[in-house]
Amino acid sequence: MGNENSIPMELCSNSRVNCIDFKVENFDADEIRRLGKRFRKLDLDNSGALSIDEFMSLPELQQNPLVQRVIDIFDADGNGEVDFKEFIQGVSQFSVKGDKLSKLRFAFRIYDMDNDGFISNGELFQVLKMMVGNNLKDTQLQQIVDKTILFADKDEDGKISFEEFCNVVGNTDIHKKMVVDV
Amino acid sequence: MALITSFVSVAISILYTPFLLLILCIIFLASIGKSLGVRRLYVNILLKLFEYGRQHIEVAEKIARKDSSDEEDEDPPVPDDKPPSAIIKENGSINGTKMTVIERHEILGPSPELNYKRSSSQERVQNGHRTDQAKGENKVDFHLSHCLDLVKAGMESIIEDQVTSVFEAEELRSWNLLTRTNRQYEFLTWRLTIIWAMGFVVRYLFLLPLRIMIFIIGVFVMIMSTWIVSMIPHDGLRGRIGRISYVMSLRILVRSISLVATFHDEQYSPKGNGFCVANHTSVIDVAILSSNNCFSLVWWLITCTACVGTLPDGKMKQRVNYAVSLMCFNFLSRCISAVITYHDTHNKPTRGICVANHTSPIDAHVLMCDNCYSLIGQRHGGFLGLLQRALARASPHIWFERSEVKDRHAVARRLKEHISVEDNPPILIFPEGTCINNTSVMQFKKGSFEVGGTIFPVAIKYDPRFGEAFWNSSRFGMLHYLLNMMTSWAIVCDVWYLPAMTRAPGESAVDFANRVKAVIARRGGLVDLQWDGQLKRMKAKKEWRELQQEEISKRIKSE
Repeated sequence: MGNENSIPMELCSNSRVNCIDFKVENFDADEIRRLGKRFRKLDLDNSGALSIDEFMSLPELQQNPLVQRVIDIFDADGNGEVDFKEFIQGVSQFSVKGDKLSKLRFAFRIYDMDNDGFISNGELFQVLKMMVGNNLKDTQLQQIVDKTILFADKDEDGKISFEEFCNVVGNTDIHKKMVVDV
Repeated sequence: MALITSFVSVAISILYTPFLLLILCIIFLASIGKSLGVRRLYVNILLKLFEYGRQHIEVAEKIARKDSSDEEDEDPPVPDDKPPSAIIKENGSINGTKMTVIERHEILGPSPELNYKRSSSQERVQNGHRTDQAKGENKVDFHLSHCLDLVKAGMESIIEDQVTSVFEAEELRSWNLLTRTNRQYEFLTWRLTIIWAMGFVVRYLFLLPLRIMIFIIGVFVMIMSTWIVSMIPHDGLRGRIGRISYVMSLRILVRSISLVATFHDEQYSPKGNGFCVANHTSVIDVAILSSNNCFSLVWWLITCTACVGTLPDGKMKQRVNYAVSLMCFNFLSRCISAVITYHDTHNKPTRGICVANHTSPIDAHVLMCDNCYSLIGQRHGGFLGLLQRALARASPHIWFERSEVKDRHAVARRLKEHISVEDNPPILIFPEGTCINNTSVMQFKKGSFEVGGTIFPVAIKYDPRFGEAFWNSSRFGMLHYLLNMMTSWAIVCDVWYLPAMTRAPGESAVDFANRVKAVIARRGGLVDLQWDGQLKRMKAKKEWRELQQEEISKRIKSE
């Protein structure tokens, strides 16, 4: 897994967390072409970028409670739209060839809503709320959040860093769960 | 300009005689019910041609890739510039079409059964968790990796979702030399371009006029023969002659579209028409088809149904109807060069309800080439309404307003009435409620399964290599679609009759619908989907997301 085809730094200047892990060589030319076709299909207004509404035109995504978070992570520069480079980069983290670290990064970013490198108590609560909706009471949720942070937070700063996250999630079969064949 | 016109006129005068002879020959062959195997041969030649084209394209692409890969070593790949859709997917399987790109493990598989929730036990089994939520209320255990399934599901649907992809034409593994499936290929290599151009000439200048001609002639023959038959006084003779004439002109019609129909296990097929009873049938789709396509056919339909309508009720009428309608639809199928293979004809529905998957408006037409069905459909006004009334005159069809919920119960009641009458033909229903692109089966509406009675599942699978039968109604209009069909190579399809099914005691209509759907999907080699076909037109319901959330919270609670 060489680094020679990594996307140049300036393409992802706004996202310091994810930059290092983006490698296009996770895909061969054919896969890129296929993804390109998919991208064009999703891009209903042919603007060259996918808006949230365009993602939401897929019924399967509409029903996914975490879709907002996933799109946010795709949108590396935070301009509210996902262009083709961001699209490829986002998908590439789910490639079979993608390494475990980048997959963990992606999972971490699901919880790390403000992208500051830490999962705070509030962030975890919000993401959990998205996942369960109104099926659990807020007090219950808060209990879960507190417990989870207490369990993972080794340096006791009240939030979960990426290392701490890896310690908890890293031993699960994440590289199996986060693989999508393109 | 003058040169061209003179050239054309000369060409026409030269080609006129053989063309006419050919038509006559086809008509003659059709009327005696013989086939020279030309259509099968034609289909096989086409297959060889496609294979040749595919190899050619692959070689050309390899060379092109070698060239571009030299340059790509220096600068990062710029994928946006790549030509669109010039993809030959290699992970296809059946019939050279792709099924799915992603292999899904149904972790949090789409299960938005909101119109009718799947039985909760089934869901639980699928998601592999136990039911101790009653006491698990307090002991909740959340793990940070709980989100991964959701994330993965989201990612999968971003790359390839199951719902929108079934509303688009399938992708082919190899180019079938039709421009509409690929706008890039004809300029790939010179040899292919020439082949494509020749194919174009054949399809538009030969097949299309031939088909239209035969179509018109067949319709004409039918009108004449039905008219003559109606003059004959009522007795056994009339029925026999009528039958012969119907079958004859029917076969002509079938020829006109080079239909290749293979009947398997014909020894099992119901003996005698009186048993397989039929009335004039045509699905509303066919009605639409004919109304747009050719006024004369419609006119014929009306005439012949009127004739049939004057006959007294009874076996005779049904028999005549059976013959007329079979003929009519076979004729129509010739116009599009339909090659239909019927499997397991001994399972052919005799009465009751027949359910099939729905790909294109000609589905009904394909099925009716082999059997007679009653139709159920929306009531239309104007011209279509006229047609529907004509159809209803000859045989019991059910027309209703789709929007009226109240009417739905009435429809169910009428369905029940219909199948309770011994002699009525089977009702043909497409429970998906919309056209799917031939790769999958979507959720079956439970309505038709609530009625009870025997269900005859039928699986229809088109071979998209010869022409796309799927009607993408959001992209093409009806006329455009018909033109596409008439100028395709042929329509090749397989029809499987499946053993009759009945609702098991204690089984809900929903479960029964799912069971039937699974059987059809398995036989037709289609992907069994849970999604509602109405998503083509409607937005997904908000409740589905809530259902997913419920699912997740259950998981958190019980683990």
